[in-house]
Amino acid sequence: MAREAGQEDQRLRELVVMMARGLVDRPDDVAVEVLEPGEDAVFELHVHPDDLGHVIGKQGRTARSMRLALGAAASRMGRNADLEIAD
Amino acid sequence: MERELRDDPPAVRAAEPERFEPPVRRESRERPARDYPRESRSEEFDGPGLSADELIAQSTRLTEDFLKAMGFEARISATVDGNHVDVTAEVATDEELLTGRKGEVRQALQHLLNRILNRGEVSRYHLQLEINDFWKRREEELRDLARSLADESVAAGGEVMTEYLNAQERRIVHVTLREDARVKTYALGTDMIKRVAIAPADFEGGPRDERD
Repeated sequence: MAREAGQEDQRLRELVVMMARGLVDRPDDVAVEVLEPGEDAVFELHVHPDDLGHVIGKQGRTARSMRLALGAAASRMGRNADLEIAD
Repeated sequence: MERELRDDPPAVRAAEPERFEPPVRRESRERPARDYPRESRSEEFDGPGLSADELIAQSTRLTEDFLKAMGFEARISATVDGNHVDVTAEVATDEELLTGRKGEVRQALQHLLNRILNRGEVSRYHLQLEINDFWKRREEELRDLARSLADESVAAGGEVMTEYLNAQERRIVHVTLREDARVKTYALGTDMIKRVAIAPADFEGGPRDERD
């Protein structure tokens, strides 16, 4: 059974929510799931289909940038984190 | 009854953190752009833009909130020139986490801040993010690199190359060697990240796509 997401997972999840809501036209449709909590956390970002381009960016640049920002925040906690975007 | 958020899909919207504050958007219909002569540089954009003070306030707040969400306490300052805003974040610890080894994290943060600041429009404002004096140091490093590669290229009589650099970094290499008549510089590659080749001025090669 999956481990419960802890406080640090939630902080990282909130970072992803904030980044995504800043990027999209429909912030109410942003949801971020903690797929795998812990030292090597994995998050999944859901946005409105019309906003996919806004979170992916040209040549994936925005998605890559979010992963780097998330990675830096996780490193600060001595952890790793990755981001998947649901389509 | 509300419980702690768990690792199942977040159903609790009310508990979501606030969205980063978007810039104030004014409808172009409110006033024609010509009422704002100060903004004459941005005539190609719809409507009037933010005043310098608004742009400073929003960029500062956005950057502060962003870094805070990342777990960093930073002192933020900003200066504005037209639609260009220079934001400096001073951090006491873990600078290298915010810059990345080659500046890739700083670049990523700058990209995200620009996308958020310009949401829903073409890029009207350009936010340049400095972390402590990282970019200043990187610039010096690139100038030194450019000069030593130029010497190397002349000595070898052929093309030498930088590592993969982003556009802002490549610009430093081109500009540094613009006055050096011994060599020419050109980009190699197709993606946003390219290398710069430095070759003797009479060298036959030129800009091209790189094929692996």
